[in-house]
Amino acid sequence: MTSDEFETFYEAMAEAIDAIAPEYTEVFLAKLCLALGQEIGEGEKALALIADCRKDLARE
Amino acid sequence: MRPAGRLELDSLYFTYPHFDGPTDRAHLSDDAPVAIVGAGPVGLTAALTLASEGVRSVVLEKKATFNDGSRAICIARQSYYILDRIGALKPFLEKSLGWTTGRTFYRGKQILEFKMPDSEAERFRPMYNLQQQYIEQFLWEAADASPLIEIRWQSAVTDVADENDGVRLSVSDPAADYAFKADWVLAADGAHSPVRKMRGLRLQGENYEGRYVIADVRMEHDYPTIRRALFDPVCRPGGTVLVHRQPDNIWRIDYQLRDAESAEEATREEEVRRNVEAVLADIGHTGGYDLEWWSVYSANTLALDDYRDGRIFFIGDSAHIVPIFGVRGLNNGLADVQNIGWKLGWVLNGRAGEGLLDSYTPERRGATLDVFANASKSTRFMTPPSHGWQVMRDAALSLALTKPYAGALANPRQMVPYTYADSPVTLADDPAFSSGPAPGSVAADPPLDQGHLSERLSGFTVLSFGDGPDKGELDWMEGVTVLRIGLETDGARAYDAEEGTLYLIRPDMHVAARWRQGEPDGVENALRHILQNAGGAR
Ligand SMILES: Cc1cc2nc3c(=O)[nH]c(=O)nc-3n(C[C@H](O)[C@H](O)[C@H](O)COP(=O)(O)OP(=O)(O)OC[C@H]3O[C@@H](n4cnc5c(N)ncnc54)[C@H](O)[C@@H]3O)c2cc1C
Repeated sequence: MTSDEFETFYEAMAEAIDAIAPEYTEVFLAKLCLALGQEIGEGEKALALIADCRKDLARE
Repeated sequence: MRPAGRLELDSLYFTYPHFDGPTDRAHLSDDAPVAIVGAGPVGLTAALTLASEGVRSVVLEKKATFNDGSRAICIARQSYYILDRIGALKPFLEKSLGWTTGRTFYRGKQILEFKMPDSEAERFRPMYNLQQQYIEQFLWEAADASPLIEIRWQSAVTDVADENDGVRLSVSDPAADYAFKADWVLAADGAHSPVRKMRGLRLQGENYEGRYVIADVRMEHDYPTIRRALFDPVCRPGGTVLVHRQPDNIWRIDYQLRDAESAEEATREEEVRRNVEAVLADIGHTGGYDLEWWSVYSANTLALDDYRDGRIFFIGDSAHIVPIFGVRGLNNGLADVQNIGWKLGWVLNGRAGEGLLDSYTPERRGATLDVFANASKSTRFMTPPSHGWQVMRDAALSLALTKPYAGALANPRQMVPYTYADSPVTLADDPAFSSGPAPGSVAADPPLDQGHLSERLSGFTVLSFGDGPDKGELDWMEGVTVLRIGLETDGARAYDAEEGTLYLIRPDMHVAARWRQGEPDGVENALRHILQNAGGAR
């Protein structure tokens, strides 16, 4: 994905979150991750991304 | 605003001059070719641009000195070309601080370092920091030295009325009220533009939520001239802070206000000090500081639908208000001036028809809309306007701590010159080129002889490569310069040129037309189209 495409993707997600009812935000994001995980096509990579993204959430 | 005990103009480092109203009054009601309302940076640059075309102007300014506070501090590379063209560059180069790099931090850790395009071959750095009052002082010094510019201080324009072939301006100064007629008016009277209101015109667009306090402090602080952006720092959890270095040991600190914080409360001196001290602690500054000046600023994208109303042209903040992120406020205004300045100059000198002036709005309003698009992106990142943008912004920042590609989303997209692609005076491109600046874009400035190409541009310039047509064949018109450039040079490479290639460059450094294999006739026809038939082409 080019950096322009990445940015477009980022913006489309922001707009999608704003467009759906707030009570569905979490389900929407999880659903999107499942779809992207499937698109990656490699189980290990997808699991590694879960571990990566758990980092740096809370302030140290 | 300034600390208690100091007046509005009591700066720690800058002495504001005081200018009296006009004392020599016999000529005040005489006609003028151009009246400029406002002696801010945009109005002064307009007067200098017209003077460089040999055109006389009268500048009317209601205040008795320069704007208070440092306000706009970042001057972009393209603006330095404008300053060069009007003969004001030297003091700017001496005083300002050039820079290329920005660093972005999230919770204290660096997530992005960006460099704006720069190299040894460039004549100017991509950006320079200089306080607005110096900008105005240096422009005023140049204007004051010009016999073609008359500045009337303490002179407020109170009315503008259309007349046959001109505009009658009513002026009020400490001694009297009077009126005079100008053929053309440039309204450089700022964001609250009284002229705009007198004409019943309104800015259209959006106001954003994000509000910032901008504070200038003086301190001995050891950090290079690098823009620092702090997201979610310890000093302002959830907020954003910007830190910029200025000359004279002055540092600009911008910090975002939370929705719940009122502007009144946030601009109280104790509040400003408390917040500034927290930022200083965060960036590791342990020495003392002096508070110089502060203000509140919000992000707006507002512009007039048409920058022209009869014989009045709106330039700078009177025509558009843009968010500060990406330093577009002042730079965008200077580009307006450069555009209308040569066009009006050429019309008044009888070298161009009035139709040329119709290209001002499409070119410059197009540039402003482009600024809006870019500035809106940076604004959404700096101050997310809704839950969706907030969630995504926070996710990107968190991810950026381990993945640099996410940090790239924090790039502030500093202003780059706009390409006048959809302009009635930009000619169609020659498809034979595979690179080089296309019509509408800003000319390249490669090294040439001992200096740079830009130093040799004057009026309309024809670049003629190799043994192509020379003077005599091309400089049939007053105001046209021919510059011959050899093959196998930086110049030829920058312009994708071969033997016989011609470029036609406008006085504002934008490319008007180009031919891989050019003929003098082609250049002559292009110039005629731009200068004589431009109005008819719309
Ligand atoms: C608090 C603040 C902070 C800012 N910070 C930044 C920043 O960080 N970066 C950035 O790029 N930009 C910033 N800006 C914007 C920047 O200062 C403006 O873009 C720039 O000053 C525009 O110049 P101008 O000449 O168009 O208007 P101004 O500088 O506003 O000048 C207009 C002039 O017209 C005069 N005038 C008004 N009415 C009349 C009248 N009726 N008759 C005669 N004279 C009149 C005024 O007195 C004034 O001198 C800031 C602005 C403000 C207010």
